[in-house]
Amino acid sequence: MYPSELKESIGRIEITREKRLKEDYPRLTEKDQSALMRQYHPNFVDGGMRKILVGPNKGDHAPDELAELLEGNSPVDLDTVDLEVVNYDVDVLVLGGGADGAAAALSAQENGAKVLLATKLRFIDSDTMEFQGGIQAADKPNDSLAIHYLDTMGGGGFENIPDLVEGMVRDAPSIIQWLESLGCTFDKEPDGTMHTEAGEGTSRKRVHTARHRLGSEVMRNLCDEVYNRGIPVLEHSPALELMMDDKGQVAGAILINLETKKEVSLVRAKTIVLATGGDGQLHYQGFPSTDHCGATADGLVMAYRVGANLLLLDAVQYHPHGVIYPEQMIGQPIDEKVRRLGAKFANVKGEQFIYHLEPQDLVTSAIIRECENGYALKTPKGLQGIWLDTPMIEQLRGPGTIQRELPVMYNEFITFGVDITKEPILVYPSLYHCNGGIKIDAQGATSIPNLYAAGKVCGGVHGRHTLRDNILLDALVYGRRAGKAAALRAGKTKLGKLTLEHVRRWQDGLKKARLEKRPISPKLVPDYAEHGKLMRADWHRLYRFELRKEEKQPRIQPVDIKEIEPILNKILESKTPPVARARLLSGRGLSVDHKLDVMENIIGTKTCLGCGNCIDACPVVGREPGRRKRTEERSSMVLETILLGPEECDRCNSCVLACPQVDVSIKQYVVNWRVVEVMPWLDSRISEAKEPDLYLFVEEALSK
Amino acid sequence: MVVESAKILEKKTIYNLEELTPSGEQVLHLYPDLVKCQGCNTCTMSCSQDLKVIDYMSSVLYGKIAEVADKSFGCMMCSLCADRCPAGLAPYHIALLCRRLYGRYLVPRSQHLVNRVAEIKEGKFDAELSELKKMKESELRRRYSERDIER
Repeated sequence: MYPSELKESIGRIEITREKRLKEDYPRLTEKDQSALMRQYHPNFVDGGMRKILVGPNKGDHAPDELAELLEGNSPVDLDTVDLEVVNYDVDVLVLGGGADGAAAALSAQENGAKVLLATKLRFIDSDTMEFQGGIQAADKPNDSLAIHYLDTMGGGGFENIPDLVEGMVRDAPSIIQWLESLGCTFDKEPDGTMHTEAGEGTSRKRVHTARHRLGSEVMRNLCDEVYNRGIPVLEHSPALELMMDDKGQVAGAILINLETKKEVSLVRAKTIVLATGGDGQLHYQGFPSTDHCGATADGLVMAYRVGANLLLLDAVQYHPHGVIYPEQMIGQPIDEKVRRLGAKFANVKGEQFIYHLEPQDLVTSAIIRECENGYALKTPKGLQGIWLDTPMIEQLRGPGTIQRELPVMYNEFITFGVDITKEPILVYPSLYHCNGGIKIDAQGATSIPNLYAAGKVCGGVHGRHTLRDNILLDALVYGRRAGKAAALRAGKTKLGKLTLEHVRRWQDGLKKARLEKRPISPKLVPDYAEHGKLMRADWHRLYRFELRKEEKQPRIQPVDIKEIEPILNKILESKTPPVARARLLSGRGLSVDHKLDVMENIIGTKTCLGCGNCIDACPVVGREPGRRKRTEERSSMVLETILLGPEECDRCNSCVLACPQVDVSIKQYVVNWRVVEVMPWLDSRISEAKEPDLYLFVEEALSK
Repeated sequence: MVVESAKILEKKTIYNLEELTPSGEQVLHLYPDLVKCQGCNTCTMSCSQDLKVIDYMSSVLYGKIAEVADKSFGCMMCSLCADRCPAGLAPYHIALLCRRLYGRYLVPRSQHLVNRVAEIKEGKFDAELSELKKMKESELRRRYSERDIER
């Protein structure tokens, strides 16, 4: 459901729709193209990129956010980590649980290696799962590997590494065959001929599809096969750092348990395949991202720290139209097909501003231009965007086209109350990922011995621009190649003594360059933007603390009684059990969970444990045990409302003293000043006196 | 740290796809608990993707593998159906087995794909590819802009 302001705007768009249907907006001339790009494309505007200051790629340009992580501090404390205790000893360790990781694990096992797969999230929960595109393979008679090669090179701006492109197009048909043998179903004619479509930048119809869900079809089959083959999987276990041995080769990894955030386990592995995915969740220049939430460039950071070469880090790709409303779908890319079917753009005035079939980068720049010039629409969250007019497709090609051609997208929008056959979609460019990455050879080997890589973490296959339907192909081809090469290499490798000397050298290098203040990386958990503000994930503080033993958690100071004395007195004077309110005053005061915004000075964290100590301590309940039968619950609220009627409290304050969540300072105050018996004072008087006279003392106490 | 896959495997049967036959008996053999389905429809109600789970489960009982593969295609393996099933079944694993049997054994093979893989093995494209790889960028650019595009 669009909010009313946007609904109004839709009304205006509908008026101009007929005009836009007929209008042929002129294509940009070459001169206009470069001017538009230079002024508005995020890769060209100032302030997004800078030089990397340390490491093997020193001097190369990279996005600010990525450069900062690449120059980051190691999360591992070198003084406390014990490299003698190895938890897992395997031949091949695969890091990453997407299509590339699963393919690498399967192929490594086929080649006789003992494999362990570790992933940051759930195994299956990956970018692949969300992928709705297709997979290219030149298998039709009118197609050839050469044409596929040429299309890919042209798409990447001829900066692709030829060997890698050749490897990809050469393996493509056999990858399709392999997927079919695992049980993947592709869209086919009844006689078995593949149904293939045209895709972004293809000159032949060679994109194989599976009912717009190719990603999940491939991923669930690969995942099932990994389980069937008995390959052990560690979930919620991202790697923090790669380990090397004294011969200078990669020899394992340090993993952390993301659930407890403190269990660290060491994996000694003869070879490692990095398949950790992309970096879209770094949100370069604050753009929303099409990537999965795990894509935080962890693999790049770890590889960089052991000295692997990276390339093409300045080639960041943006998807021209990501969703910005409904909020649940922010960043999700709208298929290029929408434009090919005839949907055109419209700004706030209902006018076109660019020819709808221009290449991605030009459309990206044009949309940003419209937004900067004030022709944008605003969502309730404050994001800007323009309309992509999908109902035009229905008018142009007849009703039912969208449901037939884009069923998954249609259903997704329907879930959030938006019918894209009748209402347009609000879009803004979305960060795709950095096309660059680790430099690999045609077998997936990096520049560091024993370290292999595959998938989005690598660079070079796609040059400066990734064609959408080559992504999954790249992941599977190089996943399989890297897995095989890693397994064969593991058979010949003998590891030396494990060491983290390279991390020590790295930290020294940072010190020399005066970069100690850089954040800790890998990042593991993405920041997320809310209300136009970027929220920083607080994760590093958490696990750094767990790893460093000497840093102790500062104890939460008990509340200062002077601050709360007036209100505490009021609470203690009322004839209801004070325990709950005393608890709320404890710790850092009330927290948002309690929804008591009225009292300004109190903010806090202590919640009722439901232990029932207050109920057991209450003398009113003790005198009449029948009250207990009213309920079985044992929270302070029950004591206050169900067990005791109004004005029934004895004001003995035992409940406050019994509560484990109330601060010591409050308890001391209650005992010293509020408990009628003034026990501590009596205690001291009784021990002082030779012949204690209790009645006299009580009288004295009451008169105080 | 425990190897966690064990937890997921509680309701999944391990099998070797290459040794199976695509039949209803095969599915029943791997998942004998199938017959315990009470038809309560909790699975359909809980499906995050709005699939008619009970519908494809009855197709499983009839042994209609192709039908199951078709009806369950939108499954995202979220496991909600299995978590809620009072009979302790795992419909999503059963459907995955059916889809894999269907994809491997029942779908007609693509002759053009088989031919192309054979051609690549014979080295039919080697010369052309190595020529392209050595080509200068200007020549590549010319070829790219002049290539004919299939409509």
